Amino acid sequence: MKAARICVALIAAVFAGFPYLWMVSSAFKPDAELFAHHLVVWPRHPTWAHFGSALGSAGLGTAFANSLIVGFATTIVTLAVAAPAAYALVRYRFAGRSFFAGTILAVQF
Amino acid sequence: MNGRETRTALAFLAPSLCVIVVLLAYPLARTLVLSLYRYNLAQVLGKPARFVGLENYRDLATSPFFWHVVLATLAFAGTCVVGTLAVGTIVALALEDAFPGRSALRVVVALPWAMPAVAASIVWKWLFDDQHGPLDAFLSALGLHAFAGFSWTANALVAFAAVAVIVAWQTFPFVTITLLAGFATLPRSVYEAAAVDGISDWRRTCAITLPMLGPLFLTLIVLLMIWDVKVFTQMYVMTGGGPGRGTYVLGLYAWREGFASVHLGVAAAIAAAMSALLAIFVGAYVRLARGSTA
Amino acid sequence: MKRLALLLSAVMWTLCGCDRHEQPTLSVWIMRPGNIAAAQAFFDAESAGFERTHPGIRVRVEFIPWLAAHDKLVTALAGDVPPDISELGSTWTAEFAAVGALRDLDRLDHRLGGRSAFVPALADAATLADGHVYGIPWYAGTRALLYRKSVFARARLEPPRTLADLARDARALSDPAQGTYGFALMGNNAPLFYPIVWEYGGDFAAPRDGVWHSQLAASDGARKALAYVHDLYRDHTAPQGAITWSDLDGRSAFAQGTVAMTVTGSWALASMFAEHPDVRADVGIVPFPSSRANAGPVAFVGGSHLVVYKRSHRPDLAEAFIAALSRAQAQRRWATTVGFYPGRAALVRSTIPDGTTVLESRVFADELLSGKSTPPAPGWGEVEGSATIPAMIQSVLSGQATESAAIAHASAEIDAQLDPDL
Repeated sequence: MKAARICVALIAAVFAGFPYLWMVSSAFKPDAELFAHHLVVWPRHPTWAHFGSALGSAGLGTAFANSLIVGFATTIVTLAVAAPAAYALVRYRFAGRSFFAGTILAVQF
Repeated sequence: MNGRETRTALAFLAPSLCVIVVLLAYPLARTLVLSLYRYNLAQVLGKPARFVGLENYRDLATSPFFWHVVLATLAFAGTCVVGTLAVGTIVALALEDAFPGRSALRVVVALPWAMPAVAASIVWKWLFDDQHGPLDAFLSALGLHAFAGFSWTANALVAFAAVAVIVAWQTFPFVTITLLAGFATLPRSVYEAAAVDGISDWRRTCAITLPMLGPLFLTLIVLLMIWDVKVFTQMYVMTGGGPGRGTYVLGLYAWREGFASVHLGVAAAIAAAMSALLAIFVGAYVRLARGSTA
Repeated sequence: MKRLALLLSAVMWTLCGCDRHEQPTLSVWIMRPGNIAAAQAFFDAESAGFERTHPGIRVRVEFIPWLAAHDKLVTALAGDVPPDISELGSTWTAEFAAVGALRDLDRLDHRLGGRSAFVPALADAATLADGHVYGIPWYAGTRALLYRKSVFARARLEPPRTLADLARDARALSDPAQGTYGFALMGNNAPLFYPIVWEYGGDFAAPRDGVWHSQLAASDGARKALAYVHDLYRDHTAPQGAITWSDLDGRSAFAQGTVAMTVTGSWALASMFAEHPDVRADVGIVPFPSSRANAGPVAFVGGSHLVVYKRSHRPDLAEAFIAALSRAQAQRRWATTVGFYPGRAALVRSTIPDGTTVLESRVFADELLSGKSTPPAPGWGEVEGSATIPAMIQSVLSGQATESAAIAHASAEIDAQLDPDL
């Protein structure tokens, strides 16, 4: 049974990780290998060209900076809003407490 | 209950109430109002909108395509839920007991959860590609030559299955991690007693572990159902609704009406219908979640 | 502490100083092309030239991706902050003009030579039913049939000249067991289908009493066109997956040797040969098959217009900048950079877009001048955005609907999409 568990876990790891692997290998494949007739699994002539295009014409730098800004801001605001609310719901008893708790759970969708 | 406590509590809740009213209740109300109007590109640019009452809803209710999309959405979501739960549970059971390398595998298995939906959809679209994708190449190398150049998006049912794989891939880590946490809450005493009786691993799982997690499974089913009814990104990237409008789900339909066609009144009506559908599941979720903590 | 305060105030002063001396700006939105570096260089030069002849004005050019462009423009218009000038796809101009977003450019058009100066299909696409011109044709493109010379030589076939030839050649060159096919029958590529419908005498939409209606069911043309592609697909002249193929997928399959023929445009050649340099010598080109050998082929012509928004604060300057971009050498330079042809009819035959050979560019040029555009109905942008025509084609190819049923369904959809009241 233990062997079966380890097998399943390994298969799951391959299922979970393979797309990542493919993503990384594709990032370094030149166009000719990406569109080659016979599948190329690992790039034979790896290139940094795609990263160059991503940072250059595709504006990855700006996108990355924006994501960081949005991520930080969202985290801070969320904590600032949620922490007091959580404290109030747990620590105090008041009319409408149940309703608030339910509403907060419902609106996450 | 004393008045001072209530005032303090309300002060602490004020920020969340602000967010809920401004960012949720108001837009929801506006959307419902919008669904009662004809609101197209001309109106976006300033022409006054015509009030049409429930006409948008009537048009949807009498449209066979709309009902087809509703059924397709529910069937698709149901399939995703079953698939995700199955995979997530099997993996959680595999990782339940310790073995060398388990912590490393736990990390790898959690990775799909970390990828943004757009990125995951693009990578999987490439994996499923009929001309350059490794999946078809791998399957025909295994001897299944029917899969050489097989297109995963040429047929609606096959396309739904493919997108379900993407959704399941992204979501199963959540199920696995939740279940692993659930396993940790189960009382040791029951297991010790069972071990004394000499119970097999398999029976232990089927007769004790899974049944005791019943409520957790129910909560997971409802939660997954909500998320999977809302699926948009994966379907948009993978099929765009094709072939021939065969893989439309509610989210995609609302988007097309709203942004491709700029029929914002109709899109609002679809969104309202979707919210009504989701409200059933959300109500169930809130019931379940509060039931276990209140 | 004092030094910090000094530094901060210096910074603030500089920032505020910038605001106070803000120059009047002409904002220009251009669709982002593949060769962004060359595009940037082109506009740097044009802006500098314009700023020299119009001192005190700054020209700011922003590149926006095609995919997001429609949304971005609608949002900007809704927020009352559109650019002064933008590029608009030829099928969008009528849509934006009809809702009153664009400035009437009759005077500018007349100054630049009027309808006869430009590629006819593009000029028509910018003229609304009221007779006014709302866009200046900037560049045009069309598609032709590419074929693999070695495959045709081996099979001792001549490249097709009519649709019947195309069907015959496609069938002769298909060998599904070997994984090779005759034709890239792209199901997600409406421009492939348009000329086939026209060839059979059908059309898409026409105005009646000021309202546009679908013409798909008005004649047999569309049904015959659907039957034509359905027969080709059923006879396995293309891989099963071709039903969801876009132009890019068709090119990819062609370059790899999976299909012997495909239909694509001048703008795609540069990137296709960059990905598959070894294929260049083996690629031949003919006009899209048509029986009108003498009157010239009727291909589908697309392209872009330059437009001025009604909300612009500097409409005269905007028109002046468009006039500058419409100079012969400027138009030609931009067009060749992006792989298209200039909007000015007189320049078409002498232009060789980057990535094409002289022979290829001649084929495209001939098609351009005799080509046709989609109906200049304001709602046609919505028909395209909703992929109504590809959906119709795919429902027939996948067996979901018969030709007549698919046409009836698409016709109803198009009627609704073209109706301004809906």
